[in-house]
This record gives sequence, C-alpha cells and structure tokens, in this order.
Amino acid sequence: GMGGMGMGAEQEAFMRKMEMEETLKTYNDTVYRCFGECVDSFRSKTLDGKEEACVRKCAEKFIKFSQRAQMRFAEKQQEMQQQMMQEMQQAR
Amino acid sequence: AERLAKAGMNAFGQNAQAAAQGAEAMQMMQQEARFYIDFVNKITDQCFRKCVARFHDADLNTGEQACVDRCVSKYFDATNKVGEVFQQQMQANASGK
Repeated sequence: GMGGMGMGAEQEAFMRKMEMEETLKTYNDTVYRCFGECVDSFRSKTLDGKEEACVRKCAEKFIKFSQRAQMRFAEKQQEMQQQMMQEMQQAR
Repeated sequence: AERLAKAGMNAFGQNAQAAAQGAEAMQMMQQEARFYIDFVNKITDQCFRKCVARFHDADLNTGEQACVDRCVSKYFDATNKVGEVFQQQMQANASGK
C-alpha cells in the first residue's frame, strides 16, 4: 500500500477506495488476458482440465508479476521523492 | 433561542452524516457499475475475436451462435477460477508469506 505518508483519515479512505478500484480492474484485466491466452476451442460450455490449469497458472503468475512491479514502482517513487527533497534543501 | 440553535446544528450534523453515507453508497454503486461495464466489454471483445472470423453475412450462422453461447459461458467459468486464485493470493499475503 501507500501508507506512511502522514495522511489524514479522509485521504486514507480515498486511498483505500482507489486501491479497491485498482484490485477490481486488475481482476477484470487478469480474466481477459488469461482467457485470451488459454481458451481457444468452444466445443463445451465449461473450461476443460487443461484450460482450467492454464487459467489458474496464468492468474497466479500475473498477480505475482503485478505485485513485484508495484514494489519496484514504490521504491522508485520514494527514490525520486528523496532526490527532490535533497535538491530543495540544497537550493535554499 | 440557544436551544433551538443547538437543535438546528444537531439536525445539520445528522443530515451531513446521512448525506456522507449516501455519497459513500453512491460511490460504491459507481465502482460496481464500472466493474460490470468493463466486464461485459471484455467478454464481448474476446468472444467476438474468437468466434467471428468472416463477414459474408450480417447475421450470425449457427456455428457462430453456438460459439458465442459457449464462449460467454466459458468466460464466466474462467472468471470464477481467477476469483479463487485471487482469494488464495490475498490469504497468502495476509498470512505474511
């Protein structure tokens, strides 16, 4: 999450809502992506064993990938903020 | 007059609270609506891609119709499976793995 920035209750509630929105969007995107990759035949109305295994692996992998990417993103953001603060202090 | 003013301010506070809860519920409904719209658009996109290849006719032939029916059904199935994976991952995160 993005806690620890000294936010008020209102902003925290907003952040939580945004995170919820992001999770919902990721959910839809994951299904879209994994369905696209894993399902190509339509002889039946439900996923067969191979398709189901593919979808599950795809979803798990995508979630782990997203989490890792988000961690790196948060790190970079922090780096940039620290840099900015340093530059502001030097400019005084 | 003071008592009336206080009562007025209490009512205002309660109305503000009710309004805030209403706004909250409204936002949640909007979020849900956006989710479903996105969901429907994505099913349509995938199943059109996978089931409709040619445009000789403006009507869907029987094969395409069957494909669409099954595709939508399979997409829902996939949605449930992905939901299960999401839940598992969230539980794994919560227990600090």
